[in-house]
Amino acid sequence: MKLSSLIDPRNVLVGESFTSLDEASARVLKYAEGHYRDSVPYADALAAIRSRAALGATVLPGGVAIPHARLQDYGDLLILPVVPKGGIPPESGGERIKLAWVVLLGAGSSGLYLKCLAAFARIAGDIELTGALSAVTTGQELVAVLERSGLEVEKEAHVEDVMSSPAVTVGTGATIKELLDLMATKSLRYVPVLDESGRLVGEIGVLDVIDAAIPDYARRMGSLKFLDELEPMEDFLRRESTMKVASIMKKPAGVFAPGDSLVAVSVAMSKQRKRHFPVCDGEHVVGVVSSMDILFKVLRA
Amino acid sequence: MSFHLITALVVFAGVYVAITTELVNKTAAALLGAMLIVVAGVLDQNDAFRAVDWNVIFLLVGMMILTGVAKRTGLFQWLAIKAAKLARGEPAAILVLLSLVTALISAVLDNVTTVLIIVPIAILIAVELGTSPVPFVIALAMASNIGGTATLIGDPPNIMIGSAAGLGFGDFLANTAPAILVILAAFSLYATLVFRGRLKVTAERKARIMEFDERKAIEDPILLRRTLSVIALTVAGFMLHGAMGLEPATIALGGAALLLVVTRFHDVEGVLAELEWSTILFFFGLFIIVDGLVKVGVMSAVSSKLIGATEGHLALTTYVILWASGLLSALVDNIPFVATMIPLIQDLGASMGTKTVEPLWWALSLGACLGGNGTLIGASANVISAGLSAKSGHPVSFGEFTKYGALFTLISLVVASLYMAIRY
Repeated sequence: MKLSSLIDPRNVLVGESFTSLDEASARVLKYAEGHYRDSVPYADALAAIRSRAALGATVLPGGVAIPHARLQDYGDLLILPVVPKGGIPPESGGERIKLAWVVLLGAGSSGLYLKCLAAFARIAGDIELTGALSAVTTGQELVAVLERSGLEVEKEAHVEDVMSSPAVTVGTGATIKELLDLMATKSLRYVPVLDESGRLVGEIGVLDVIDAAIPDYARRMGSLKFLDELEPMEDFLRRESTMKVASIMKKPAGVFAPGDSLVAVSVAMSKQRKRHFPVCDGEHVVGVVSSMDILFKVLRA
Repeated sequence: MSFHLITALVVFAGVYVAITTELVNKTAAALLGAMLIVVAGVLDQNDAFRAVDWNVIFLLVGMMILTGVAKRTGLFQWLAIKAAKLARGEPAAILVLLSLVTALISAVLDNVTTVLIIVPIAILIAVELGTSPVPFVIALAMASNIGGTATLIGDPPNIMIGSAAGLGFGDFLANTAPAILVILAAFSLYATLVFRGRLKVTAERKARIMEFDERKAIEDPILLRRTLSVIALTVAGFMLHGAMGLEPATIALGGAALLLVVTRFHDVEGVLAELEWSTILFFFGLFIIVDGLVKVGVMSAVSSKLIGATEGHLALTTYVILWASGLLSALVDNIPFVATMIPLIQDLGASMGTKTVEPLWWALSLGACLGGNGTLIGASANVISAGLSAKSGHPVSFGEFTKYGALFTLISLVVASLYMAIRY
């Protein structure tokens, strides 16, 4: 989750001068109260900010201040950025405050707040970013700068975080014997198929191999419990050294990129009843994502 | 009473009951009814097939194909996400913006398909926001009915009216669209007021909406570009069809076929399989049944009664049709209702003059389409939206929908009446 997503441009106070951090906090709280009508408890919030400030510095090196108010009955996390004109002289000497992040939070938002704090600290440590932020003239600009910086408070996992990489692949010219040996030795149920230039042209799973061994008429017969041997299936195995992967592979039924969402992969797996998908960066296969990856790295991480 | 008259009336009543009570699938009922009309000799097969308004049927088919391709581009998801982000995750604003998007899309594409695509996205947005999806579901169903009234192609009743009365795309834009714009504005206000209490969310929840990346909703930009071009061309075709001497069905089918060819669409079978054959066959059967009623003279009898009652007073007849259509459409499926009213108004036109009765067509259109918002069963879009919501764990009861729908339907009918008074 990006920090910019948590900030409403209407709540940013830009271009006013303040003589103290306390004055800035009070002003921005009043400003926010105007937007949120009944849900910003101005008096309680200001009191909470003051009591927290009394406990010690809420200014990070780099001129970034983080006054905050933790309220019992407040159910939200409100970030109210202040970009003062000309900076604010700090309480106890030191550098002028170029940027203040006034935060209102409730009892339940601690986790997210700590991550926001970490992000604020990163901003303080980044002179260029702090400079860009303190030079904005509107709330929209501030949010835009933050968005461009890509600063995140939470990192969601993507396909690249759970896929198996590098991918084990076969070429179109490989024989079935080579494929089956590969699957058996490496315990693979699914292998992407590449052409000579390394591009993804097909995919093949154990089930596809089995499919290829079953003749059409057998498939249409309902239950085959009555026999123990079937000539075409034995014949298939006898031809494994001459048959090529290209003759039995399937066209890729869905491809993902490394940065793709795991939600999308899960939905695709469910809709298509498919347990493996190749992961491509452009034309090249960089990995395979499977339902087992989802099980071990997401559901039971 | 002759055998034919009795048969026609019994079949008609039977099909209406089947549709309303859902005891029998409505398409099956309509087809059986139609064939009974032919078997009983009310119409012979040639007359029956001639009674079918193929212009309506193929206009529907053409638009269904266009929609089928359009929905695969991810365009609707993109629009919904863009609207939600524009509102910065603020639920009340999202509700209004999504309603406007829905109304706009329903003016061009069929209402049911529009809600089938937009409602799941709206439910997703509501759930991510941590708020109840019910206000969104109700509002979007209503918006699709309102938007669909604005154009010839927006709603099947309009397609039927346009075809029967010889009114074109431009005629609807000039006559119903202005009223709809006012009604949409009223709806935005209404929705904000009545749903306000239920729509309060935290900043963190709004942030989740801001995290959606709408660019990823478009998986095939080339398909999207070509689809938008062909749809624009088709709409232009609709605007000029009168001047070109072409019927709407030609434009729709032409656009659909062009789109499939131009995009070298790989899943034509898939798109065709998704067409609402049930609806198409229902129309087929319905046209025959209604023509059966016309043939036995029921329609002219009713229309002369109507003229007698209103003494040929145009304004009075207009309001009667507007309100009767509005109130009845809330309870009865508006398509059979309009199919029944069309020959009636055509008959009135024969006695009072075709140009004179034009306002009656607008009254029918506005009444039948807006009336659909009156109750949960008033329009298919309502039932489908509620169904989608129920499947997602948030059922919308008949009472809940009707509570919001009925009041607004009354408001919209009043606005429409004022419009008719001023305009005609």
